[in-house]
Amino acid sequence: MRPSLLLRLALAGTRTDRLRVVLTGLTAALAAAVLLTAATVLAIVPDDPDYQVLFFDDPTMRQAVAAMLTLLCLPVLALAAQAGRVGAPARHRRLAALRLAGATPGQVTAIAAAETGVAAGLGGLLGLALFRLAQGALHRRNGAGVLWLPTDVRPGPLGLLLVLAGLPVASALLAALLLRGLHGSPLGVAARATTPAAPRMWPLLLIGLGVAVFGYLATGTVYWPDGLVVGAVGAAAVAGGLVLGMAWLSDRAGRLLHRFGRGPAALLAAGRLRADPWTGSRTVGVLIVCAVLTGTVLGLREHLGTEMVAQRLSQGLAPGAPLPWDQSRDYLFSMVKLLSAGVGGAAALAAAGLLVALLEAVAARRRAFAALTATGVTRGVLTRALLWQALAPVAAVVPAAILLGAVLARLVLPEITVTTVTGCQPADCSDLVMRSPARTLTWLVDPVDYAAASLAGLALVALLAAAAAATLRGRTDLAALRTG
Amino acid sequence: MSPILTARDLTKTFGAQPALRGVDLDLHEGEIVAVRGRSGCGKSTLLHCLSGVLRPDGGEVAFRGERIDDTSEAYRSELRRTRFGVLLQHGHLISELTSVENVALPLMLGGGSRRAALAAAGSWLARLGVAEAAEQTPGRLSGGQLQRVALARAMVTQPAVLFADEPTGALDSLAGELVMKLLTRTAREQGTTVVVVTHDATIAAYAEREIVLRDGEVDPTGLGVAIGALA
Amino acid sequence: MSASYVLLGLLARGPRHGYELKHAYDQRLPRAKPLAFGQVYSTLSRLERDGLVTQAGQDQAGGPERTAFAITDDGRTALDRWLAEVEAPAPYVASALLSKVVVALLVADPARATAYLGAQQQAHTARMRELTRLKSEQDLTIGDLIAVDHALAHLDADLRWLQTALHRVAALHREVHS
Repeated sequence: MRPSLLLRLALAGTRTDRLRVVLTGLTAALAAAVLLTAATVLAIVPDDPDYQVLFFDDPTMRQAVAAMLTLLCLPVLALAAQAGRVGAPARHRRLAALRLAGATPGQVTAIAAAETGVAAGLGGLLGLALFRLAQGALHRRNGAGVLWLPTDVRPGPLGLLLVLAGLPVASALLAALLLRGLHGSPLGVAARATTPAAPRMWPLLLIGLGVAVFGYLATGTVYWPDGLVVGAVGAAAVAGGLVLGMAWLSDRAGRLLHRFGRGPAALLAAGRLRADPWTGSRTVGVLIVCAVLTGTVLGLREHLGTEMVAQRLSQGLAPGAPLPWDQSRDYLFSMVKLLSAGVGGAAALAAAGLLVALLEAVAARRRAFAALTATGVTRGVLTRALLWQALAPVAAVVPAAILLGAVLARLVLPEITVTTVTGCQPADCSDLVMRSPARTLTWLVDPVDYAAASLAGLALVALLAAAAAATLRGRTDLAALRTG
Repeated sequence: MSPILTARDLTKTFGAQPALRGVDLDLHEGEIVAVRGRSGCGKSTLLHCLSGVLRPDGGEVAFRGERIDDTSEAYRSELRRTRFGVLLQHGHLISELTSVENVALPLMLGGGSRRAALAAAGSWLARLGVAEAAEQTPGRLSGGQLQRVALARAMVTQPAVLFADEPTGALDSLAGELVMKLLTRTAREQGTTVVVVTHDATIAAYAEREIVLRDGEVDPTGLGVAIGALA
Repeated sequence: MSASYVLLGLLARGPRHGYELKHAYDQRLPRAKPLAFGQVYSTLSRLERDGLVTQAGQDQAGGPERTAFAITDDGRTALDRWLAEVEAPAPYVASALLSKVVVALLVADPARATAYLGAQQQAHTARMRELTRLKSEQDLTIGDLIAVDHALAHLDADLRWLQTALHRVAALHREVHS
């Protein structure tokens, strides 16, 4: 197949297809920017550079920042996957028609991969351009001549290559993988009723496994740096379990809503959740993972706060009195700030992905909604149905996830003990002071923080659903009702 | 002369439903055959198995003496592109391409020159009387025009066998008559063998012989129904 | 003309009285022109004259309506021969085709009914092919085209009706024997 034909077929599309290409490009740009930032941070050479933002001074902190940025690419990936699903059914039909016209499975895969690869490639270039612009714009020195951010460092050549070549290649391969369904008979492809498989419960067991791993870590028998690897495995298990298990939870939520729901909106939502629990469930799963991370950060904050309380009690100081400066405590506070920023960024990405998923859900079911509106179902009912559909699976899961995050933090972090003086050497306690633990303070998470985070999470989901519902047409969309 | 397309003991089941239960068939070069039967009798499935779109669960399909049912999906796609033509009830044209691009597609997919492919497509459209639709996308064409464009696409590679599944099902009688006339005339001019699946007797009347299916099997009585004794 | 054969068909299962025959005829062919009593008896006497039926018994009190008639061997032969004859496929065969199909389905055994109906369908189909070829290959005048369309439409209607009748009978058979 000539490349010109490949390109022509890859770019043949409707407005929705162009939207998908644009979204893919944008998410690729985002991924490129994030990866380039990580590469830049890793490329900071001197061991103790001087920047206003203290994160970048310490090598371990730099590694942590780079790791976090790379992890941020996961929600970006989820967003990209969601963007790639925009208008997917129509494209699937078009590719099936190509198969019927005699295109081989390989040719059809090449067309789809080309679309994604070219979009990602252009997006990567855009990301590079934006990154350079940002570096230029943020290049500021304060009075002492110290740079605010490491804007004088360029990402290494390896980083550049990875981003500019690796991104398009990786997304093309991913697109090819996701389209392996087109390799069967073109008729099976065209006529498959796509009744997705019923969701299974086993991913939730993965969560339990992850928690168990953290429990193992809590026994204190594993030390750094092995502990980091074990922790990573546990975290991956929890995250994977949540993302994959959201479909089952959506299905269950649908059943519960069906049993206890009153009114047409609830019933519509229940039916939709049970009929198709898979759409957008993985994106919601990423949001839930962000909730878990929020819980962890809240737990960490509470840990630090309780530590300070314990120190005050141990020293016999009044509550609220200032404590002597402690570098490790300072370090941890910076860590918390960094993590909060990271989790916030991830949550924003997950929210964007969820918005795309909800918008796509509304757009894809234009015909069904038009039919409902034609029979007299008001837009208000449809909006409420969409709200139910978005909130039902997460209503209980968001608070539980935040709690889970806090519990995981509790398992990993050490006990906080209040110590009392048992002896001094010399006796006036001017030099060596011996202390022994008197009691432990329990901590988990600040109730106010917890409530606020839970409500914020649910409010976010509701807001996104309302935004998607705003795109519903008030009057019957006749064009969508025409047969054939 | 040996038949150009043979089927032996074809079986195919979808889920719990057997669609084909042992069908034998011989097609001779250049003949026009109709396959009739009520809905659900398996005639579309038979067509799909014969044209390599579906793989039968059992039995064999042979084209010019060589088995095609056990070949790869890629091979059968190539076969469909070069030696078979497929015409369906709803054209399955690509709505984002113009008619002439749609017709030229099988030629271009094989790596042919774009200009030559478009020229061949243009002449086929003219031959079938839809030259005026060449630069338009399928969305703007009438049903009859669409089916003629689809016929052009099926015939542009000068296939040995043309498979048509209810080609006039969505058309009114005069449009359908035109499509069938053009189909039979061009097939006879090219020496193409034709298999038409239809439930409509007036369409089957364009064929030279008829095979009737009943419940996934060939019905030798031609009635399509088993008559049981009535009290 | 076909009324005689319908009566023969009704008698094939066993002897019946005159009034039974009339009612059975009307019941089996309700949409056809109802057979008047007089026509029944004139047909029966013609059949008797031709040796195709015979009087089987007589209620002392009655006239023709009380007389029981039975089919003879000659009658059975004539019936078989009529059934085996294919009705020429042409537009105005409605009543003859109808009678024959009804009798075949309700009287004959499945094998013979299948054979007859298969032959009938073949005849119709062959004629349709002829007419279609005529339409496609020759330059007909508009009048001829319209006439050919008319014939094709009626033949198609016959075939469609035949198919529906067969399916109804098959469904009924399944119901009765399930």
